[in-house]
Parts: sequence; structure tokens; C-alpha cells
Amino acid sequence: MTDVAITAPTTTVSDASPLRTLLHDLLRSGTGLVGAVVLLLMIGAAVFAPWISPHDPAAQDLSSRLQPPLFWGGTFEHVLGTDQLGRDLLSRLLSGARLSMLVAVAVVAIAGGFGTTMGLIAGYRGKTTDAVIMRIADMQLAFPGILLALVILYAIGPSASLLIIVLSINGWMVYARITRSLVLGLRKSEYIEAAEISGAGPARIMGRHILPNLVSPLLTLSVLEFARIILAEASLSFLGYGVQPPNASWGLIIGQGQDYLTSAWWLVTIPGVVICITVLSANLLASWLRIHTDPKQREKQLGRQLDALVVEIAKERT
Amino acid sequence: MTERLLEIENLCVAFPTRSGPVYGVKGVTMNVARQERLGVVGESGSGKSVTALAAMGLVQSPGRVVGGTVKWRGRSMFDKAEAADIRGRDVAMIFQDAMVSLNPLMTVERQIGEVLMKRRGYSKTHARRRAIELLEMVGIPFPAERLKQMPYEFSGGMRQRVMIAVALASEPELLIADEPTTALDVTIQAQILELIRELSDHLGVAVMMITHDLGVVAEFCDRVQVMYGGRVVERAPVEPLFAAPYHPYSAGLVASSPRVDVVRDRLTSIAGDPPAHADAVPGCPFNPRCPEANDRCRVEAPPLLELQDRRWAACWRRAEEYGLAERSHGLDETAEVAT
Amino acid sequence: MKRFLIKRVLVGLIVIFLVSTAVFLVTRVVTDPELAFLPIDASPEQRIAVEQHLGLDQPLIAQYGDFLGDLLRLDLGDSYWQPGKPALDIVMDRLPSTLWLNTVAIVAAVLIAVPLGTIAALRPGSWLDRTTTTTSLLGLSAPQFWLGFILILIFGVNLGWFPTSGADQRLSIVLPAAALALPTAGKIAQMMRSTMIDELDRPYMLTAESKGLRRLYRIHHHALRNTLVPVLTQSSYEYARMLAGYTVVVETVFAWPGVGQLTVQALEQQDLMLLQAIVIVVATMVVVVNVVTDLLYEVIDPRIEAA
Repeated sequence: MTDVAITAPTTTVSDASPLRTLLHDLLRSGTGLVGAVVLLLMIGAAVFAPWISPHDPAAQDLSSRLQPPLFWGGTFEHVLGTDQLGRDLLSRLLSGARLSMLVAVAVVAIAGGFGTTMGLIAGYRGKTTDAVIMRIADMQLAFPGILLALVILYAIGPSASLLIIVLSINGWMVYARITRSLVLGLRKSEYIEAAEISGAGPARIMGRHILPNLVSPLLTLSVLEFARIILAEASLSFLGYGVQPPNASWGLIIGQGQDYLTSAWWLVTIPGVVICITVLSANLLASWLRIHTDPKQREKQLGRQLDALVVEIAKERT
Repeated sequence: MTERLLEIENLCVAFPTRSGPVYGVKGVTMNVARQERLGVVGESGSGKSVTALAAMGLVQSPGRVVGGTVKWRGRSMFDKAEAADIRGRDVAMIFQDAMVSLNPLMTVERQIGEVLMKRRGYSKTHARRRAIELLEMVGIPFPAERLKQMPYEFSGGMRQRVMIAVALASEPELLIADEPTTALDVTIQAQILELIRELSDHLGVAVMMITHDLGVVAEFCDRVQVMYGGRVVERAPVEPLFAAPYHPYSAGLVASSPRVDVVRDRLTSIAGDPPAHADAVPGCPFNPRCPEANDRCRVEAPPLLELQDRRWAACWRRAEEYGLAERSHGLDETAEVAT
Repeated sequence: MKRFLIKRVLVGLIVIFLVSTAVFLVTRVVTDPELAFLPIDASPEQRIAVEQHLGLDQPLIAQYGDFLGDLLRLDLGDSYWQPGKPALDIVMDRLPSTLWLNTVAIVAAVLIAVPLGTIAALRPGSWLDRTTTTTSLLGLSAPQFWLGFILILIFGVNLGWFPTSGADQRLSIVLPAAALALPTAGKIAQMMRSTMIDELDRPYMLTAESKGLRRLYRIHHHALRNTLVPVLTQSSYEYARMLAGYTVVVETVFAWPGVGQLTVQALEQQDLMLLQAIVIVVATMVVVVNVVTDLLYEVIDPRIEAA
């Protein structure tokens, strides 16, 4: 009986480091790449806003108020049009990007840091500590978050810093729950038991064995949370209790433009589109991350290699 | 010669891995005749479960059948429409773990009944009656009350009986049992095996018993196919196999089984590990662990040859002894002649 | 089952209690409610008079005690904005509109999302899957209030099919419900898709296939039924989240006379009593929805209790 030779497809990836493999896969994926690139562009625009803004976002020019965007009969002077005070929309959006993203990143960092720590403690200590922390998290999850946030912001006085604090208080729970369940799952693995038996202390086990396994799921979660915070901040600023003038944030711009919905629709529509694109890219990236860091899903992708094999065999038989 | 129900010929199944596709099953040929009790024995990774799935046309992605044929009474199981028709009517399968192989949120009545109603056009009342009959047949007490229960409400052994009842609802001619007793306690194992044997006798159902346990084979089967490294390495009726195994692997298996009738100081085992897939080892897949391996064994994989009446082995050393060691190419030549 | 129910209700009551305390602290400690009643140049005596009138000159503990006592008697104080009217009554007046809007929205969301998610799951990676997934993601990426404006622009102003504010006409509910429903539908569709993909992979599906049951039947009677259980419970929790948050912005955009719009009005009017009442009522609603959902899940998937 002849042995049919199996030739490995030429596109196989070698045993490179996990990060390189991940990047390699990202470059070959469709939506994941789009998400990552667009998100990076947005972040870049936010970071470099002061340098790439065509105008000063706060500069008012009542003689050119309510100018339409370029594609609606406007001029190159104000590519995305102007608002009721003659301020250039593009510049405002860029400035708003800074603040909106800053808030989102800050909240992810604070809520994520706190939540992950709580989750680690709960997962590792177990028993009462775990029960207490999780109870608190569960109960807080049942709180009407946005409402309370509104009341607090109103009561103390809205500001970007308070916004960050309030959103962080509302946001740590999901990190805690996910971290905890991951830690519990890992602890049960024989791998950890072996490390414990060989005398490694809790800190070492935590650092070398548990944390590395948390990176991918937490990364995915952080990207998702980033998206969610952008939306939450937009809502709060829209209502007037988030970022305050003269600062700009995407939500606030929409709020300020809502009276002109029918006359200068671009003031409401365009900032929303920008929010949409940003959040969508984050979601696409997160979706891709989730799939590509889950070993079971990878198997399915590899199934396509088999088609190559079938063709090879068919060729050899004839 | 009794009719052949299932004919598997030169089956090859491959799976994708990071370093390229590999074969899980390579060139496997076997047949099941009417009312026959065939055992397929091998360790994990030998390809026996994949063969069973392929027999039903159920190889799961990402694995794929890449060569060979499987025929039920001449009809190809790789034709989706034919296979769907044959399954649940002529052939049925039971699996190792009834807890996950039964729908956890569906009543037992429904899981038995849907075959009756959908495949054989029973009415709901008729199906109910028949379901009770089947549960009785598999030895479940108070069947009428248990119809409305869910799988988790049964003990392990009872659940396995339910799965058998589900399979029997199809009134199959062949029952493929993939390690049906592995997940059960020893005492329950014996009961379930006994049940399957009774049912097989009573209803004239052929059984293809996939197992790694030689004890099960000895208890239950008429004929055995021994699998190793994705291939069939020996094929024989059960008593001659145990009395005088041809292939060194089968000999190793038989020798390592604990026995009550012989006094021994220690259990023997076969040194080494089984191959990860069918092509992991050049030449005969067993050669690294084989006490009799010679140079030819290390280079060329031996075909399955009929060395004596109804006794087949894939071994150059045995082939030499029977004067059949000329080079042979292509398919298993003597396949059409006998089972 | 009883024990489970009691435990859940108890936890729920604690949540309501904690939320009430939180809102109490915020409205008394952090801010000066009396300022709402005073002109800018009020004299200290006027201020003290108002404080006394509102009971704010008492020590905090005493105030808290009064507060709790009142809470148990379902007395949430009188509104500042509409003096003489109990805050609770004002909120309860508006609650039905909000509940109605949110219920219509969640039902619509589920009706859209379940087929969408199922289709995507049947052929993962296909263009159909990618399209439906991207659409779902697009839906859930849009801020609700903005979606509301877009809907108003397109369907209200330009096409004139639906009213864009208030709740007077029969079709008034369409646009606000759509604004609420679409992002939620996106979320549920994603959930549906991933649960379904997992479910289709399970061993019992193989058993079903081995019985020769047709694909459509297997998907419908085995996978779908089992998938709906977790997905519908998640949708229930989404409903609670809708009530607790998104409804505020959507009602504002559409001038829908519900609790959400009331919140914004209360903020404008600096009516802390009303705000307090709103928060407590909404928290209670959320707890009720959560408890009911937990219970239903228990009933439908009895393995939870058996486990």
C-alpha cells in the first residue's frame, strides 16, 4: 500500500513567539485588522489633535455660523461645517476625541486595575474573601448605574475628573468577576497544583503562572469596556452632566447641536458617526481577539488546510 | 456466507494541525455481517472512534474523510442524503457518556419518540406506547413515570440504558457502540454488556463494539479488529486471537491483561508510547515498540494480509513465516475474498 | 426553590436599601438642597429657615433614621418642584409609560436578534455571518440618543412616517422603541450567535444527527430550544439595564413622558426629593426584574438547582 505523502501547506506559521503569531494573524484577518487600524487612527487623531486641527476648536466666528460640510455645499475652510457659534466642527471633534478617549482610557485603567486586583484576591483567597467581594460586586451590578451617576454628577458638580471617578466606580465589577472565574479555573489545573507542591509561594505563582494566562481575556475585556465607556460618557455629556464647556467631547457636541437638528443636521449626525466608527472598530478588534486567543476556535480555522490536502491526494491518485 | 451490512474500504481520515494535516485513520478496511458482533479494539488515538463515526458518515469538522469508501448494503455513506436516510433507520449509534450525548433539556419520551415520529411516522400516542416498551426492554423500572424525566434525573447506568433505548427506537440492523461501558462502574459495565448481548440476540441486531478493554471483547465479540496507529493490524475470530495472537501488538495486549486463572508476579506491559498519528512513525507503526522488528519493518509499512483462514495480520515477520512476504503495493489485495 | 427565592429577595432588598442610602447621602451630604429654594442673595436667616423647613438642620443620623422610617412607609418625601405632591406619586404616574416603551423595545429586540444570530451561527465565517455580525456590531456601537436623532431625521422629518415626540399618537412609540431596541438587538444577536455556535458543537447534537434527523429539525428542536434559555435570560437582564439607564436619554430625545424624561426635568428643577424617589423606584424595578428572571431561569433549567 503506498503511503500518500502529506505536504504541509506553504503558509504554515513557524513556532514564533505568541505575540508575533498574533500580529501575523491579525494582519491576515479582515475585520480584525480594519478594527485595529481604524482604532489606532482615531487614537492617533486624538493624540495629535492640537497639531492637526485646522482651526482652534474654541474660536468663534459668528459670520460663518452653521456652515454645511464640504459634501453638502460647504467649503474647504470648514470641511465638516461649523456650529451655531461659527466653531469649526472638525477641530471640535478632534479636541473632543482627546477628552472622550482620555476619559475612556482612564476609566479602563482605574476600573480595570481595581477590578482585576479584586478578582485576583477573590479567586486566590477563596472562601470568605471571595464570597464577600463577589457579593459586593453582584449587588453593585444591580444598581442603576447611569441614574446614580447623573445624580452624583449633578450633586457635586460635573467635571471630567468626577466623570472618570463615577464611571470607574460603576465599572470595576466586570473585571473582578472575569478575573475571579479565570483564576478559579486556573487554580484547579494540575499545573498550578504542581507549582504549589514544588514550594512556589503565592506571589510567584500569581506572577508567573496565573497572570500570563489572564492577559488575553483581560485585553479583550478592556477593549470592550473602552467601547462601552465612550458610549456612556457620550450619553452623560449629551445630557449636560459630563464634560463641560468650554471643553468639548463628542457627546457634548451632539447635545449642543440638538436644537439645530433640522437646520444644521451635520452637527448631530457627524459626531455620532465618529462615535459609531470608534466604538465599532473597538468591537471588531475585541471580537477578533476573542476568537484568536481561544484555542478551540483556532481548530476550526485550520480546517481549511484540509481542503488543500484533499486536492493533493486527488492529484496523486490520477 | 452471511450478508455484509457495512463495508468500509481503505478509509482515510485526516485532521488539520498547526504543522499541517495528519492522518488519524489510514487505509482501514473492515466489514460487519448480519447479526455479527464485531469488536474494534485499540488504545486512545488508534483511530477506532473515528472509524466508527466514519461508518455513520459523521466525521466531524475539522476532520475530514480524504479517501476510501463506506457502504451500507451497497449504498455510500458519504452521500449526504443516503446517509441521513440510513442513520436512525438501519444503523444507530450509542456513545460513551450519556450525560452529554443526550439532550439535557429534553424529556426522555421526546428523545426516544422523535425517531419514531419523524423517521417512522408514528403518532404521538403510538410513540409514547412504544417508548414505554423500549424503556422496559432496556430494564428501566416504572417506565411510564420516567418518560417525562430529563437525563440528569437518571443514574449513570440508567442513562446509558436510556441511550440504548433511543438507539433501538430506530429498529436498526446494526448498532455501533463507542465505548458504551467505559464511563461506568465495573458492576454496571457487566450489566450493560449483558443487556446489549441479550438485545442483540433477541432482536437480531449486529453490533460493532468499539473499546479499549480486551475484557469486553472477550465477553462479547465474535470477531475482532485490532487497531493501532490509525490502521488495522490484526483481524481474527475472538477465541483464536486470545489463544494465539499473530501481531506483536495484539500479543502484547493479550499478555498485559490481568488474568484470574494464571498466577503471575507482575503485570507485563508494552514499552513505549503509541504514535500521535498514522504517519508519525516510518514503516510499520508498531516498530519502535516491537520486540521482533527488523529492517524492513522500520522502512515499509506492512499490508493487512490473510495469513490463514480468517486470520489476518499486518506484520512482515508473520508474513515471512507464512511465505507471503513478497512486496505488495496498493490496496489490501485479498479484501474482496473474505471478511 | 423556596430557599432560592427567599435568598434572592433578601439580596434584592439589601440592594434597594444600599441604593437608597447612597442616594440619601448624595442628596443630603454632598449637596445643599436648600439652595434650590433660595434666591442667590439669600440671608443666613432665610437659609436657616428653609433648612428647618426641610428638616435639614437635624443631625445626619436623625435624618437618616427619619428617612428609613419614611421609606418603610413608602413615603419618599414631597417634591420641591411640585410642592405638596409626594415625589413617589409623581414617579409612579410616569412609570407605566416607561415600562411600556421598554417592554415594546425588548420584545422587538429579541424578535430581530434571534433569527439574526441563528443565521450567523449556522455558517460561521461565511459572508452571511460576517454581514449579520457586522450589522449587529454596528447596531450596538451607536449611541442610543444619537440613533434617536437619526431616526427622527430620516423617518420623522424627511419621510414623515412617524411622530417624533410625545406619546399622544398610536405610532409615537415606534421611533423611541427603535432607538432603544436596535443596540440591544445587536447585543442579543451576538449572544445568540456565540451560544448557538457552542450548542451546535455539543455531543447531543451528534446523537441527534446519528438518528438521521434532518438539519433544520435538529437546529430548531435541539439547538435552538437549548440556546434560547440562556439568551432569553440575558435579554431579561438587558431589559433591566435598559430601564436603569438608556431609557433616560431616549426619552429625553423623544420627549417621551416617562421616568427618564422626568429625571432630566428633576435635574433641571433641582428637585432632589424627586431624584431620590426616581432612583429608589428604578432600583426597585431593576431588582424585581432580576429576581423574576432568576426564578424563571430556575424553572426552565432545573439543572441549576440539581447541581
